[in-house]
Amino acid sequence: MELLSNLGDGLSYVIGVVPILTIILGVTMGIIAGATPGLSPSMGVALLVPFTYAMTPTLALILLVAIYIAANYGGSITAVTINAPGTPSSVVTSFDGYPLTKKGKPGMALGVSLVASTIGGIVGTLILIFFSGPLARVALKFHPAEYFALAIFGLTTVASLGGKNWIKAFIAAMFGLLINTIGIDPISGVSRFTFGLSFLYDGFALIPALIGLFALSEIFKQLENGKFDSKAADSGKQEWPTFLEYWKLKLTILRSSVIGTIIGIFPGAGATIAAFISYDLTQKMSKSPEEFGKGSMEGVAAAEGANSSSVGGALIPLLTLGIPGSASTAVLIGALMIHDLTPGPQLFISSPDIIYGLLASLLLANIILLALGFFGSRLWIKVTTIPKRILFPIIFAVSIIGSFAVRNSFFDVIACLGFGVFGWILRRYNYPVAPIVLGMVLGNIAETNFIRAVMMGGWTVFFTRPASLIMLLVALASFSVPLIQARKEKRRTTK
Amino acid sequence: MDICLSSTFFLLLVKTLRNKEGVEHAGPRVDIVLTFIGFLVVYLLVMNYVGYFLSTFVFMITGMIYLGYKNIKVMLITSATWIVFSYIIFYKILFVPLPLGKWFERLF
Repeated sequence: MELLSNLGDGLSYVIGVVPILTIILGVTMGIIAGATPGLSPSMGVALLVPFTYAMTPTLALILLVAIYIAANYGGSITAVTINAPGTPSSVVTSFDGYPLTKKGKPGMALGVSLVASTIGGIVGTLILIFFSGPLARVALKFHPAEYFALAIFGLTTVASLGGKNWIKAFIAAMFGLLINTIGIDPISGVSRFTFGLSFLYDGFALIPALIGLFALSEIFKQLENGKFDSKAADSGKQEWPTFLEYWKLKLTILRSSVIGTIIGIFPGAGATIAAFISYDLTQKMSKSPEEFGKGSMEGVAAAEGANSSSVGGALIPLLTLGIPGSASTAVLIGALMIHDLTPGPQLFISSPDIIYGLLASLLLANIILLALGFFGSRLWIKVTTIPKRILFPIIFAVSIIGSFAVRNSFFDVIACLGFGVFGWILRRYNYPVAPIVLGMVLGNIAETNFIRAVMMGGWTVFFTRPASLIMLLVALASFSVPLIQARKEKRRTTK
Repeated sequence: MDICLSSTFFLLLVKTLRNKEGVEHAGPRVDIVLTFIGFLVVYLLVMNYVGYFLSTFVFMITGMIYLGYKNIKVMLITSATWIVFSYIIFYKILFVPLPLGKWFERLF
C-alpha cells in the first residue's frame, strides 16, 4: 500500500502543465531521434543532456527518459518503412516489418510495433515499480564490499555479452577503467596520470566523453561510409490493424514484454539482445513459424514488445543500485550527476519525489507515445527524409556546445573531439564503444567502494561477506563462460 | 598567428566551395572523415578569435556544402536557426559563457 501512496504522490508531481508538456516534448524528440537515420537513442539522449542543466532534476530526468522510450519506437519506423533500422534493437523489427511494407502494408507493421511498444513499455514500468522499492531497501543495507562486487559483476557481463566480440568488448571496458584512473584519486587525493597538468586534475568529465563516443564517433563512421542519400519512404495512405488483429497478438506481446524486462535488468544485455531472444522464442512457439521473416505480425510484436520493455528493466539496477545496465542508462547517470544526484538506493530516501515522479512519468510517457505515434504517423515517416548532409553538421555543432556547457571549459570540447576520434578508430576495428562508458562509470563505483570496504573491514571482507562472495563468484563465472566456449569452439574447428 | 589561422580557414572554405561534385563514392572514405576532423580543429581554433556564433555559422555552412548539399536557402535557414536557438538557450537562459571572440569582444 505504501507503494500505491508513493506512486500517487509521484503522479501528483507529473500531473501538471509543465511536466506533461515536458513529456510530450521528450516523446516527440525521441521519435524524431529514433526515426532520423543517423541518430541513435543513446546519441539523442547524450546530445540533449546539456539542455537539461537549467531544469529541475525531476523534469530533466522525465525529459531524458521520455526521449529514451520514444526513440525505441522511432527506430522501428525507419526499420519498417525503409529497412534502415534507426536503432540497433529495431534491426529485429525490420525482419518482418519491412516485408510487410513490401507487401504494401506498412500501416500494419507500424500499428503493431506502436501498440507492442506501448504495452511493452507499460509492463516494463510496472515490473520496475513493483521491484525497485523492495530491492532498494535491500540495497540500502549493502556494505561497500557488495557494491564493489556488483560493479565487477557489471563489468564482466559487459564482456561476456559482447558475443563473439567478447575480447574486444572486454578491451573496450578496460580502456574505460584506465580513463577513469586519470585525475585525483577520489579518496586518498593522490594525483594520477595528470603529468602536472591542471586541467587533468578532475579527470575527464563523463558528458563530453559520452558525446564524443556516442555522437561524434558514430557520425565519423557514417561519414566514412560515404553514403548520404537515404531512401524516401512512402507516407501515403495506410491501412492500420483493427482491434481484433491486435487482440490476437496479446499473448505474444505480453510474453515478449516480460522477457524484455528480465533481460533488460542484466547489465550489458539491453534492448537488442532482448529483441533477438524474444523473436527467437516467439518463432519457436508460434503456430505459423514459416511466416517469420516474410512479414509476420507476431514477429514485429515480439521484437517491439521486448525492446521497449527492456527500458524498464534497465532502469531497475540503475535506480536501485546505481549500476547502469546499458549505454543509454549510463548516459542517464551522467545526467543525474550534473544535478549532483548519485543514483542508488539512497535516492529512494533522500529524494522520493524524483524517483516516484520518474516512475509515474514513465507510465504517462508510454501513453503519450501511443497517442502521438498514432496521430502523427504520417509526420514521423516524413522525418526519415531529413538529409544527412544537413544533419551531420548540426550534430557537430550541438556536440561542441554541449561538451562546452558542462563545465564551461574548452578542455572538455577538445576532450570530446578526442573521444570522438578515438571512438571512430575503435569502431573501424569493430570494437564496441558502450563498454568504455560502462568502464568509466563502473570503474569509479568499483574503486571508491573497494577502498571504503577495505577501510571498514580489511582485505578479506570481500570473501567473508556471503553476498559479496556470491556476487564475485557469479562475476567470475560470467567472465569465464565465453572463455570456455571459445576454447571449445576452437577445439571443434581444429579436429 | 591570427592571420595565419584565418587564412587557412578561408582557404579551406574556398576549396570546399569549388567542390561542386559533392562527395559520394563507394568504399571507405577516410578522407571525408579526416577533412571533417580538420574542419572541426580549425573551427575550434578560429572560435577564440571570431567567437562561437560566427565560427559555428560558417562551420555549418561549410560542412553542408562539403557534403554536397545543394539548396542554399535551406542551409542558411537551418544554420541561422541553430545560431539563434543556441544564443537563446545557452547564452541567455543557461548563462554559458560562450566565447565571443577576441576580435569582437570590445563590441559587446
